[in-house]
Amino acid sequence: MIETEMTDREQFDSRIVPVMDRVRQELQSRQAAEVRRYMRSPAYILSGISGPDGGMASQAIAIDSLKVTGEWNSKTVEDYVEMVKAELIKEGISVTPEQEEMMIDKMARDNMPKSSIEYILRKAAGNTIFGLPEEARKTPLQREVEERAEALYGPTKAEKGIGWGLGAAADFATLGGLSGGIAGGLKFVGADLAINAVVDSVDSKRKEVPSVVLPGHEEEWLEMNQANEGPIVEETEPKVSQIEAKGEEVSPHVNKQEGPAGVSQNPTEEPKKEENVSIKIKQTPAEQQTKSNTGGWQGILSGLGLNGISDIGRNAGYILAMLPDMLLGMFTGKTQSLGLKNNLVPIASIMAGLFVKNPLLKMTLIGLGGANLLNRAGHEQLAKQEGIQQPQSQVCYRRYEEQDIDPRIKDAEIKGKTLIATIDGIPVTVTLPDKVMDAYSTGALPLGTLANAVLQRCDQMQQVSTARDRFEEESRTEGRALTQK
Amino acid sequence: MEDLDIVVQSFDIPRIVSVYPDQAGIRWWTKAWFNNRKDGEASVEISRQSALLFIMDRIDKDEWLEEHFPKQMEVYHNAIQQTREQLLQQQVNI
Repeated sequence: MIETEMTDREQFDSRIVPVMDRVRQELQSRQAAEVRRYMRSPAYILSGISGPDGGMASQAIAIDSLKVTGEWNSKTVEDYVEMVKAELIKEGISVTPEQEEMMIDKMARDNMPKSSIEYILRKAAGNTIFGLPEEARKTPLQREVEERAEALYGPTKAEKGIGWGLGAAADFATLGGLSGGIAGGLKFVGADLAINAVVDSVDSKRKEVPSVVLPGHEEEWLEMNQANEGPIVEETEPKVSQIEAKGEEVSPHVNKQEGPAGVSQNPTEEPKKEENVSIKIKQTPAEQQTKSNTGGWQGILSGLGLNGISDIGRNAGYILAMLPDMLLGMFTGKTQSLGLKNNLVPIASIMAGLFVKNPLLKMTLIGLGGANLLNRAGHEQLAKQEGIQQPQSQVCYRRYEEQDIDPRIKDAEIKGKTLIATIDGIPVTVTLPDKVMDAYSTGALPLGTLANAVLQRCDQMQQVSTARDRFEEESRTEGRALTQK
Repeated sequence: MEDLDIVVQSFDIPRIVSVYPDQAGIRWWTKAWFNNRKDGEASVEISRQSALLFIMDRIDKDEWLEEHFPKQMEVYHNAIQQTREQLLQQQVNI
């Protein structure tokens, strides 16, 4: 294992890093060329004519649209990784999941702010309304890279605060708030800072919650995660790798080839080709979905607590019908997701909206806060509805009695869908059918009984010997001076 | 349970062991090949008696290897254990 890691690291440093740098430079120069070409185009020049601001805004929008429609400017971090991989394949290198992780680490290091000023400016830029389109366009991998880069930099609270403050001040000035006086400006910046601080503290906890967790059940997941430190955290890793070892099946020839005494084989015979172990990344449907162009919105929606709002839209009729029940449940405690403890930010948003005079801000604060609460309560209601339907479709398995594991089986252990054990001294992995695993997980099928059934099946499989094995058997009857096992 | 549809894969490391005498049939040696390597392990001289017991299948192959190639077998056990742990880890991740 250590050898593999060393090889991965060495290969990454010596061959992958130069390719990554080369591809990045090529991509940057192509993007620059595309922008240059576009800025000389009639569409861009004409867009500068319109507007009371001398076409500044429309030209900025035109450049923004290039980031969506341009051949090179629309490339995301994921596309960049794919381009690197394609280049590496040309050079005969196939990237392992470990190396892909190293690639992300490298990108995070390259992206790490090099000074306080750089960090503050970036934070401020991302925190203004001007940064909103950029934030919306960010892909999950880009967010991951940025988060890692920020974690690597390790900003102080003061740096974060200054970044937020600058962003808020820029927003305030842009929205024409200066007419409200210095007191109004301070209030705006203070409120923005407070919201950012609360969101950041909640978000740092929420970051660990994977998107597959049903909205409204994050706290439950975190509690469960704390109870089972370790394994569950690893389950949440977005990238899943699986080894497909093209190993030998446990068949009679495994033993016979290495054979009983009296067998003679030429010791100088060419050894069999080493087992090929190929590692590939399996993408979950959720990951595949984020590759679409709409994927960028997921981050901003989840940031606003509107993750999975489309479920509410699809079930709007049911949710609206259940609204009185949900509201009543707030007072009786039946609607658990609408508790004050878990909804501090949306309630604060609504409360702030009530006292803000600016109608645009009022609408945004109350609207987003309300949508957040509706989203949570709606998902809880939908989960309840599914919960009623679930038991009906649950399968009842016949309960098997616990058996002692056959002494031929040693170190039997089940993880995922696989039984890992040593059968007759041969370490094997046995992939089990879903139904069997389901029965095992419900407790209907104890490990001992299952392992014995697997052994029985292995024996049956071994009895079916092939013509080749028979030939081997026959050849063993010849007596030779040299004996090999 | 009778028609259990399973896929069994071994992650064992191939081990080949051989015994052979000199031309006169007086001195005997044993040689082993691990992981299908071309160059086997260095031969170890053994007694004629134990060579015959091995040929007659009175000694288990792994016992024989443990006796004559203990270091290699230690590496073998470690490799199997590490592979097992790795597989378990991967199953957890899946």
